[in-house]
Amino acid sequence: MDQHAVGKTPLNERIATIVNYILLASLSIIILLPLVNILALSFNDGKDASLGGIAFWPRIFSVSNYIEVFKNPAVINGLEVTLFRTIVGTAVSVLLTAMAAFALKNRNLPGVGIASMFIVFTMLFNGGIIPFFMVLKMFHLNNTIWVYIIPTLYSAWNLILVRTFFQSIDPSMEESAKIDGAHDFQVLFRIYFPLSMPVLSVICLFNGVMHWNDWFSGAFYVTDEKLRPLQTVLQQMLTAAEAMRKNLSMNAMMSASSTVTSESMKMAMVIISIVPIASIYPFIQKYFVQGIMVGSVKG
Amino acid sequence: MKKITHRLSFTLALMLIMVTILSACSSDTNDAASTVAADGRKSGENGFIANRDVTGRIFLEGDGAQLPDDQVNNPVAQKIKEKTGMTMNWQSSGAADGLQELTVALATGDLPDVIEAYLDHGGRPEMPVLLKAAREGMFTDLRPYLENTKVLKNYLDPDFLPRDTRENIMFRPDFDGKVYFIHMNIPAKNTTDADRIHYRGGMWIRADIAKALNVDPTSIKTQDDLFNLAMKIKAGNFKDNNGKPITVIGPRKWGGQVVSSLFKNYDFGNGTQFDVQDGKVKHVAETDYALKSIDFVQKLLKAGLLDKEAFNMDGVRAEEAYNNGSYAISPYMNIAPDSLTMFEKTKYLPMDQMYNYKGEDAIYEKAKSGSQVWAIPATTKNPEQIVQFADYLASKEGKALWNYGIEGEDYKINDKGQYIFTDKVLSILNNSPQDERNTIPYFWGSLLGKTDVNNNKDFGELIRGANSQPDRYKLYFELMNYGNPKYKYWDGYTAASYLSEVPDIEASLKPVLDSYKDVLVQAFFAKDMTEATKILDDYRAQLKAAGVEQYEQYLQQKYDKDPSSVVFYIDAFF
Amino acid sequence: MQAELDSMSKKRSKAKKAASAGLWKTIVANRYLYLMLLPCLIFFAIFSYLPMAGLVMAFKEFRFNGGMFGGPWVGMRYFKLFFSYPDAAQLIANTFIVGFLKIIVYFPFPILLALMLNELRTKWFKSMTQTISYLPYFLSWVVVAAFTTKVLAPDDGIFNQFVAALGGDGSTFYMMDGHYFYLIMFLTYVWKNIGWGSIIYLASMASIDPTLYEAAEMDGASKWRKIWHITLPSIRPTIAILFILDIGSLLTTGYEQNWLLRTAGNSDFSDILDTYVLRVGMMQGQYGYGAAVGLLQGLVGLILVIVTNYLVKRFSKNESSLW
Repeated sequence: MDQHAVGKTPLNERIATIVNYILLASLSIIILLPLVNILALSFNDGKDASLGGIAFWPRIFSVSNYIEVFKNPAVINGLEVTLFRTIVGTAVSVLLTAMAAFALKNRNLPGVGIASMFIVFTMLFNGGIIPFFMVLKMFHLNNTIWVYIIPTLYSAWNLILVRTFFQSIDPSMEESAKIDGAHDFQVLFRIYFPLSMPVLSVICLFNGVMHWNDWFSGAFYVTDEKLRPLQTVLQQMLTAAEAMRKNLSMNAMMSASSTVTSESMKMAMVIISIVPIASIYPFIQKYFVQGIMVGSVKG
Repeated sequence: MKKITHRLSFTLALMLIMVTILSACSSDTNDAASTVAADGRKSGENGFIANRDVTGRIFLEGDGAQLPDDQVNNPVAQKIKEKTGMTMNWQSSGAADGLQELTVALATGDLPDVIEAYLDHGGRPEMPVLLKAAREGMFTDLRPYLENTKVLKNYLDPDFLPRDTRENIMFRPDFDGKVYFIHMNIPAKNTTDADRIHYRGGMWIRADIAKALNVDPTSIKTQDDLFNLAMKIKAGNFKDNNGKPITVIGPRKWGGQVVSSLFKNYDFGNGTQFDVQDGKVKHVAETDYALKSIDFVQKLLKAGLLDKEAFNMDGVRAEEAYNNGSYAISPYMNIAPDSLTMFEKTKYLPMDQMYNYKGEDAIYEKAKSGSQVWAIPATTKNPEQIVQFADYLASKEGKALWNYGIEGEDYKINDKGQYIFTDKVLSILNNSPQDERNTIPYFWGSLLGKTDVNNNKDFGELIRGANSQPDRYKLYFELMNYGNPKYKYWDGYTAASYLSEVPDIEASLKPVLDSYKDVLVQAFFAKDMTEATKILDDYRAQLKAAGVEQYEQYLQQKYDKDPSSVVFYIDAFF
Repeated sequence: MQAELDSMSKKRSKAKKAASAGLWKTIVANRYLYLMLLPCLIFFAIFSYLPMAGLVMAFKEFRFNGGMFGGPWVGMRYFKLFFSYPDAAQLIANTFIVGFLKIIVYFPFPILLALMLNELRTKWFKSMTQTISYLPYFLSWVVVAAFTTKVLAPDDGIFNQFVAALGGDGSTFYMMDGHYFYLIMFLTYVWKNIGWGSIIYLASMASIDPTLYEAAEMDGASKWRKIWHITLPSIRPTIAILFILDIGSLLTTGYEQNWLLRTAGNSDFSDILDTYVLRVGMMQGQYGYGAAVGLLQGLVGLILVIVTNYLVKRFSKNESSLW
């Protein structure tokens, strides 16, 4: 179709195509530039970087920033907390969400309509952060690792996404399984689960990214430093001086031989916090489109 | 398979409920402590208190880094346990904001046996929170237990405490004789000026630059002097230790915040925002001084003399920069003993004798220092044991342990009665100072023990270690006494602390007062003075709407009745 | 007549009984389904509805020992206090401006990107651009804020270096000057979300029947006309749905960016109701007052969603709305 059209394409359309390529290429560059800048800074000798002038390539290559960061117990601890909450939180949440969505897909079941309204309304209005915090206090969740996992088990948006996908699955399979004596759990895990991999991967990704990137609960709901996730450690290092002081051995940094500075370490921290997500998402990319598309169809 | 999936799903379905219930029933600690020591001593016999593990929390913004790695099994803590039966474990989260942490801990009831918070004086922002908690019965009345102590008993003597501590923090009239907070770091009776450490909080200048330009830092008196000096420094093209060109003026040594010592000629209402002009109480924004200081900072910024990030730089970066000599002038730093290493590397000199707005070149200091408070939550059992423990740490025997370690092992007493560190400790101090805390848990002990302080009398030196390392501390004393400044001492109820007496005005006025620093920064970075004036005018309107006039009237009444009842100008750096 | 009525009412009550017996039967038969749903309902009751009930805090004085429902009533005191706070109007205005920028102004950008990507015929270039453009969505706001501060730092930030290389001043402190705040906020928002936002439009464009384009081509329609008359109308329902959902997400995640990009210099522009609640409520412990402001903010959000839903319903002639 395009081949034979080329010759006839008017000049203004050809120019538009070229402009289009140029614009998209520059968009990619604009997105990548800050990343490359931070990457270069993180691999540059800290003292040298403080002289300024580093753009997209390290002037004096060094990995000592990363070595210093990994010597820091708060970073290791933060990494452990983040991994725990990401893995456990995501797994439990996806399971529970699938089960609830499985029940919610039966519109004719008594009470399901009301339950759906009950859930959807929470997307429109909420009590705000302070009463929420008081609820955490009421259930003694603050200052425990569960404060990351339990309050994020369900999200109305994910529930709707999965429910809509389930509704698109041919119900005759469920019916025939039931005639064979299967109960609901078996139907869910043997029939719906395998068929719903696209949408389940998408909510896995959503949950995983949310857990990995959440700095807020760690900053406001937790005071025990042993429970601080990586992003909160990062946020406090970036914004709060005192936290940085506590987390770094100032003496090691101040010593004459050290080439690491607090700034160069921060850059390394930023890169460390990005790498896992940035290396995983391209592989799940093909599922996004399918999964997200389902969510946009009205449920 | 069928059974397994069934069971698995069922378990998961109930998990939420289970965990919630379980965590809701978290156990209560504080079992009654046994009151007989291993060697048979009973409570009160020869210093034994009880076999008890005390947990505490500090809300001191990152100072937890100075706690020993193991707070129970270090030699000093073991020695103290032998004697008293008690161990003390402080938790610290190193959070960015001690006040936020304190508030959250109080609101969630997340309180261990004893807590410690910053409270330099009664005008600190922690005060209203602590007061509210005390009024709502969150803390134990310590008064009955003070009677049975040896050192802390001094607090009951009206002459022992500074006025601010006595009237505003500990023995408040509205507490009906109850005492909820113990204010720490109170000097002992009969201390003189020779027993006083001057921290020289204020502006400092790099010594080599002052010398190269042949400038006597004590001769800098006016803002013009400062500006001209800054221009000269800029023209001098100085470099830092890494060879990078310097910026003339940097942030506070601990990072970005507005510091009034930068425009000391205009520091009306230093530390309280209020002061008296022509007999009338005014807020600094209602005087010319506010605009003058903005004008000065804008001038510095336009001339490229002040680091643009001075007002928001984080503390670590700032400290690094001062270690590297990257700034010629610091608007605010001091000589806390731990900064000696920095001064050895890059020497700075105090330049704190500029005129204040009153035209005095004296340095204002608190009459008697107090620094932090501790309190015992109402939920703690046997609070008297903790008071006794604190009393032991504050005794000379206790102080010697956390200041100098174990006798013979860590220090020896020479024939002049001076405490001298052994070679073992000196080698730690010189080679890995960050490990000192594991041998001598100074900060750990100071939390409950540093009060009734007279180091000269007790240990024969003003600063611990000064007699052990005389060469090193020569620099310290040189800096401390540099330029022989005059001192003025303040004491009493600050203008800021009266705010909690008028809750209706406080509610509307406090947020506006709190935002003054932000307003100043906006004005500093405004395009020109016209815009800056507008920002200030807006702020004045806000003050007025929030009831600043009523508050000024309130202060005016107090002031007219007795001028000494309100302290307007204090040493706080804003 | 009477007998007839009697038998009718008997029949009715019988039917009722049968229905309720039937209901019970249905419930028992589907007990596993209800079991699957139960934790979900408990969850929303605790973490969404209990906090809503907790909004009574807005009318009570908070006591450290009283929890959410303790403390004496203070009536409308906190609301009066907030409206007498001189910055209140500005906070509300900022909240609306930020909302306007993120919903209305931002909205066409991902559509535009999707249209541009849709025109690409070079496969590797298309997939590369897509992969790159999704990346920022996976970075936390902490990281993005760190980038922004570093890139825009005065003097040695890469942007200022660039300006200086072009002969400009190169020492502007963008983060401290409030006038740049909305621009910075908006650009970082676009930077972070545009790629991700375009996915759904792209998918929706992919499902357009190709014969429509072929027919248009026969008629000699230009590229522009095809976009205008075929592509855009076909994705209209998607656009409408996303428009409403965007508003929903704004209420839950909108403040992180402002909180993290806030500096003393730009606070007049960056402070919104959300960040204000965090500061006075969570950090300074004025929980009652914070809850009151939070309630106002929640109501503003609710109104925004309802109004948008109404408008979308009207303009899309009922073919799409959230409920």
